[in-house]
Amino acid sequence: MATENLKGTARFEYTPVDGSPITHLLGTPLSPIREFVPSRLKQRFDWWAVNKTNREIVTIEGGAEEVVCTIRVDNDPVGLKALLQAALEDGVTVDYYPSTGADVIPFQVVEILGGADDEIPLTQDRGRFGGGEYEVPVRLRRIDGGTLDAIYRPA
Amino acid sequence: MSAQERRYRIRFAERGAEEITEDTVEFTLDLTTLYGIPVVRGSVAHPIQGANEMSPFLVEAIDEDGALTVLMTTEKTVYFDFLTDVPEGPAVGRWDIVGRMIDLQWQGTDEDEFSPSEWITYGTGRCSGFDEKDGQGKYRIEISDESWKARKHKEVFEFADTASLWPPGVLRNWRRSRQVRPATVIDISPGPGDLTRVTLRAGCYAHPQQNLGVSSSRAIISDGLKRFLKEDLREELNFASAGTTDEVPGNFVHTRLLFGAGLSDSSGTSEFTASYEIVSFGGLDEEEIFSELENPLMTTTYSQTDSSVEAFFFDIRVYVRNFPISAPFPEPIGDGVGALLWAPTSPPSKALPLHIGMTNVGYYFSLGGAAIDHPWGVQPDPSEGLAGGLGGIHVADLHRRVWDIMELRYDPANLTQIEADSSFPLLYPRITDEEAENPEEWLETVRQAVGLISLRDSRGRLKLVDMRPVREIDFDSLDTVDASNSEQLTWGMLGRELINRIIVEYDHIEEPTEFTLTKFAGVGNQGRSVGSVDPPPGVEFLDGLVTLQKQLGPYDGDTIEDSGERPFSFQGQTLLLEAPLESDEGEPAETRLRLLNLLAGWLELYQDGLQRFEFELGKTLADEIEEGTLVVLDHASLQIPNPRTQARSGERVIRIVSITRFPAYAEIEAILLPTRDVPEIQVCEAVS
Repeated sequence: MATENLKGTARFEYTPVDGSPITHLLGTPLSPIREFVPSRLKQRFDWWAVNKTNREIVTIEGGAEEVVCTIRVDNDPVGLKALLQAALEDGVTVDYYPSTGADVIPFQVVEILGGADDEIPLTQDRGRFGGGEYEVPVRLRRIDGGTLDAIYRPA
Repeated sequence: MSAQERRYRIRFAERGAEEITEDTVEFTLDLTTLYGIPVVRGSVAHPIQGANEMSPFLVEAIDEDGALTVLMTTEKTVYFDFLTDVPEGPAVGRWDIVGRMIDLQWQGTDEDEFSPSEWITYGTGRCSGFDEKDGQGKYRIEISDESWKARKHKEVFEFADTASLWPPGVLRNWRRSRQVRPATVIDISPGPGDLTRVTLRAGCYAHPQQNLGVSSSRAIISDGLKRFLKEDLREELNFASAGTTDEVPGNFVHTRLLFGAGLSDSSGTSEFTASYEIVSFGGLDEEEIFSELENPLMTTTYSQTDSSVEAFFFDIRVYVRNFPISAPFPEPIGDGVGALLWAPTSPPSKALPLHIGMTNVGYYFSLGGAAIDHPWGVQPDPSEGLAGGLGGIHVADLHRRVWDIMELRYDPANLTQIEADSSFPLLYPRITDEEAENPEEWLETVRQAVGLISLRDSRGRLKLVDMRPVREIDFDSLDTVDASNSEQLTWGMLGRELINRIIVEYDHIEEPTEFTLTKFAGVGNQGRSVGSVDPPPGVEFLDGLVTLQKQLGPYDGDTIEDSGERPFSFQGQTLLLEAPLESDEGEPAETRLRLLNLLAGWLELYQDGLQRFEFELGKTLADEIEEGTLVVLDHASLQIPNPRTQARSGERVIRIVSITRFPAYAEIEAILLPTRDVPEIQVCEAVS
């Protein structure tokens, strides 16, 4: 727990299948300061006529917002692996709390960037303060139809 | 330019439902379950063959928390009804999805002109299979059209109950054959027990002025009839009289004696009509069962002046069983009581065909004797007077009746619309075993011959589309395909689809020619003898009609010298197409003209080859059209060469034959229709 004292209140909370709720504190909040790429997802069918001036668009009801970001300076690799395992192998929703009192954001972990479908790799943090700190680049998708505006453009 | 947000859903009907409605839907998959937006492939159209086929398509859905597995299965009790004394087994889960009706729908999320609030059905079919080949938890559900139903060879043409075996003829007016006149019942004698001996007489007067309407050929007892009766014998013969209560069948599987009302065209209409089981055409033992047919009693009368034959009659005595068993055979009423031999339960065959499109003349005899409309009859044309016309069935009416029996789903409004088009020639099909074996395949030949094709609409229902050239097209009433609403247009012509010579091969059916009677052995002016008269050549069918193989045409297009002869023969043997224009055999000229105009249309369509187009069409217009729709193709806008203008200019009309619908556009297949006016053949008065 070398960086335990650096942790704030940003956290993931999830409930494993056949388990009790778990809180996983983050070394740093998911933040637009570094490595934070939000995107909007909506199924869209786009068609242009041959004269390239007429366009037909059909979108499918629903949609979601995603963010590609990195979980940083995490000195609880066993807990982090358990979180990713529950999210990727069991499809468990992880609730993200940016800070104390902030609204919850329910996420699905879509993938670990750079990892194969059947891998859950943890990488040693590039800016680690000491040993035992890891990072994981992930793609997270908000699944309740809400936006991520509050994260990457704080009020 | 339009944008639209949609929601999609897939509805599964409950088991056994033939239509999907709000009442028959058992469960629905929505966007939370669907893996992608299903695309319904358009039908593959074969205009020359009059046929179409639909490719199966897939719905991919996620088995979230096993919910889909639950929906696709059911709890059933194991029970085999072909085993007796086996108790019901335990209730177990079974797959329960194959064969169910499934439809695909979309709905706009905002109500505006581009987003109708109602659900739009864009594909319908039946579940024909499913798998998890893409991985556990992802079902792939295959949906197919109902063409398997059309291939079931269901017994559409079940009974050849439209002909009289003796006297031979059709039972109602049909084509150029008038309703057969029955034999006259000249004697009814009680037999032992429940048996009655009925004596029938049929014959004619040789003198034209005295002919009562029965031709000489109608009295003969043909070898074909004898063969049919011998083949119709039951395996176990029974000549004994029955008891007082137990019904005993006759000795013939299909052949019956039809007695009573409605069989005479004179005043003799009795109140009783029934179809009687026949025991014998002679004596009451196996040796004598056909003795009256082998050696019929013949009466001839001769002229007092020149000894020529004035009339002759055949008498046949038939033993029948009373029906009901306790009821005596009815007494004859007046002179007009008639009877005939028929085989109402015999399946259609070459020897005994089923005639489609006979006039009902208000009644028909069901197997039980009740008066009903015959399932293949037509209402008489009042303009033809008491005779009720010669029948003939419209191609749309024919399809409606066949598809009803085959339980194929179709668009009734479409058939009503086609039926209102009197430019189609009336049909007089004669069904033998070949047509009865595969009715839908036979209907393809019917459609081919009259210029129709069958397609399926978005609800999976069959419909008929007129593929003949369209005259007097109002371009302004049609939508236009141009560069602003289409993409990737390609076109082509195939030499093998070029037809510049058309021949129609068909059966010519007519009454047998009269034959001249010569003096038989006899004494004075009346003689009774035992003998027979050979039928005239050509009488092959038990319905007493002569069939001759004929052909209509060849009719040549004007490209035959340039491109070589490319003949095409319509196989119209079962259609009984009307006789050619130059015939003087008395067919309605209007009907013959309809056929010739049809052939002219075929030449117009195909003598330059069939030009096919493929392109993408934006959804705004694609949502407005369906298979069969006519649209204008703007050659100038799309830079397509136009032989009519000999430049990339002008407009021509195409007919949509296939639509594959994607959310924002549709892939279209279409064929070109001639844009110049097709000359219509007219009747000209002869100039004297």
